[in-house]
Amino acid sequence: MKRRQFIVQSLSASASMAVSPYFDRPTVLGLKKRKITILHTNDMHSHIDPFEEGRYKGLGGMAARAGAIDKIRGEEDNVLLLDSGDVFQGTPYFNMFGGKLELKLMSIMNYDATTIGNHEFDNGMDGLKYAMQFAKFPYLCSNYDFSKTNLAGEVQAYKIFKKGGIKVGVFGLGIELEGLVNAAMYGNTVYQDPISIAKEMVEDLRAKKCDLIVCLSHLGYKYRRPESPSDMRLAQEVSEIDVILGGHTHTFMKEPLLLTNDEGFTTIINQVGWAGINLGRIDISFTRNGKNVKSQGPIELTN
Amino acid sequence: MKSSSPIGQKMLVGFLLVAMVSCFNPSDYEPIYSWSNVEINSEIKGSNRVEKVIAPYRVQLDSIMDEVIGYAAHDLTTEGDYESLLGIFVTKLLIEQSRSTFIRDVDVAIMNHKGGLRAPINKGDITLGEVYEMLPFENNVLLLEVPGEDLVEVVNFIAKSGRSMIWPASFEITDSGVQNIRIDGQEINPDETYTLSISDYLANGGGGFRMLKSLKRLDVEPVNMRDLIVLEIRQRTARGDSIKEELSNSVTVLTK
Repeated sequence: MKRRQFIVQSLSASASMAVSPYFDRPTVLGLKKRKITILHTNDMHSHIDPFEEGRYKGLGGMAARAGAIDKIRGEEDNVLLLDSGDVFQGTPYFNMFGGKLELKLMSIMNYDATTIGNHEFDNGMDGLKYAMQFAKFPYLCSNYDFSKTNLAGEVQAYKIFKKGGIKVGVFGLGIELEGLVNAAMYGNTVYQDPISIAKEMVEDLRAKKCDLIVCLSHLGYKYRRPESPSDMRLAQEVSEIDVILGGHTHTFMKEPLLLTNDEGFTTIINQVGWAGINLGRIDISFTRNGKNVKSQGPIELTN
Repeated sequence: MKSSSPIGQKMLVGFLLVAMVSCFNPSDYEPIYSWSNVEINSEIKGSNRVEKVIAPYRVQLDSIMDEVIGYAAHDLTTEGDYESLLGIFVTKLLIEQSRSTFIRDVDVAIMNHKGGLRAPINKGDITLGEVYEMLPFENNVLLLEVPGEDLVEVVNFIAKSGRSMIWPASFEITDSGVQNIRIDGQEINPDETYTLSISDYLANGGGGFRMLKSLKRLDVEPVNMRDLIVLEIRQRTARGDSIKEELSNSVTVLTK
């Protein structure tokens, strides 16, 4: 099911243009223009209120974020609202209320999914389970095995969303826990290699005919040690992930990175800093004709 | 964060047009992407619905977190190589408070000041909320028995990672490793056993301290690290003291 990859390979392997059975079988039939708007956050770290001082003074805040999301929902039909983990920890709201308020507010904002960041374990497995009851959206994580924990059956590897006729497969990836998270806190959670799991996820989601594959990653953008799993390594080693929404490294990206790997597949990687200072937005339109990429200026939010 | 640069955009468009031509087929379809990250700032009209949910939590939180528990004579941050004012404040109090809480002799303390201490203490009144932001984690303090030869390995790791502090210790960093390690002014003795005050996070191998995992723990009931910090600040306030620290220059870098 390596659709785009197949096209590139057959063009380079043969002078003939008409070798692939996929060529005359567009995945989405009869569309004029379908569009999906992905909004995303990462590493909000319990920043319920805007910063009161320091370099980020006045930025962030969940009421303002909700206002921005409401405005975009008023303009766009097909919004997918996603988070890449580390919702917890960083202000006394988490210490006092254990993540309840963060997840209640994300539910009011109609988040579609989040993943499990390393700080989700900060109050232990029981603390995470307690808080999760306030989330009216799924936790997606494919490479933590929770089967021997109290979260068995509560975390899905992936979920397929249908928005305006577009099938979007979303899966999550978590970072190595040993040495990063207090072992007593993650208990019997088993970390598995995110790169090989991601390959399985992509196969599953392609087999289920997803038009778009999105990864909620808490691996981090990139590391000095190239062998450390990161979003860069993921995009290089696993084709067919269309969008990686990253986290963990609190990376403020001026614009998404478009990484074309050795197999010729291009993945969009985006990460929007931390603390809810930014809301990431990627609009994807499906049209009949050709591949194109354009970027647009900032959306003015002045009401 | 608001907008991407026009030059960058043109380059990307150009780059992808090239990519497009190489795999173009009229009957294929491909998605068109655009992006526009939104800065969340005070000009955005906030959601009343969300604000109403937050309000009672904020009242409850502020009533506790706004309490002033002490005074800082100057800013204490984690800036600096190998040592920082905030790191010195915390490692010193770990030793003092561990001695009085556990009623044991404590020789050294280690704190991962970079990464473990998440916000500075700013000059002026110190609120309880500031201490929570500085140390949000529910880490416990415990005591480890560290043979001198293992402590040498630990100091070498600290010198290499540059993210943790050890107190009261001095050492020199050379191209071939650490030399002249002194604990409280005394040359380190590989045959002696030192008592180390440290968080359970590091003792469990966090922050790269894998060599600590197998060390013997003293039979004491671990205490919350933030509670010890708050206790230290309150005690200083009760004595009429403010929070102030000086850099010790205990680490000498001799690398070429």
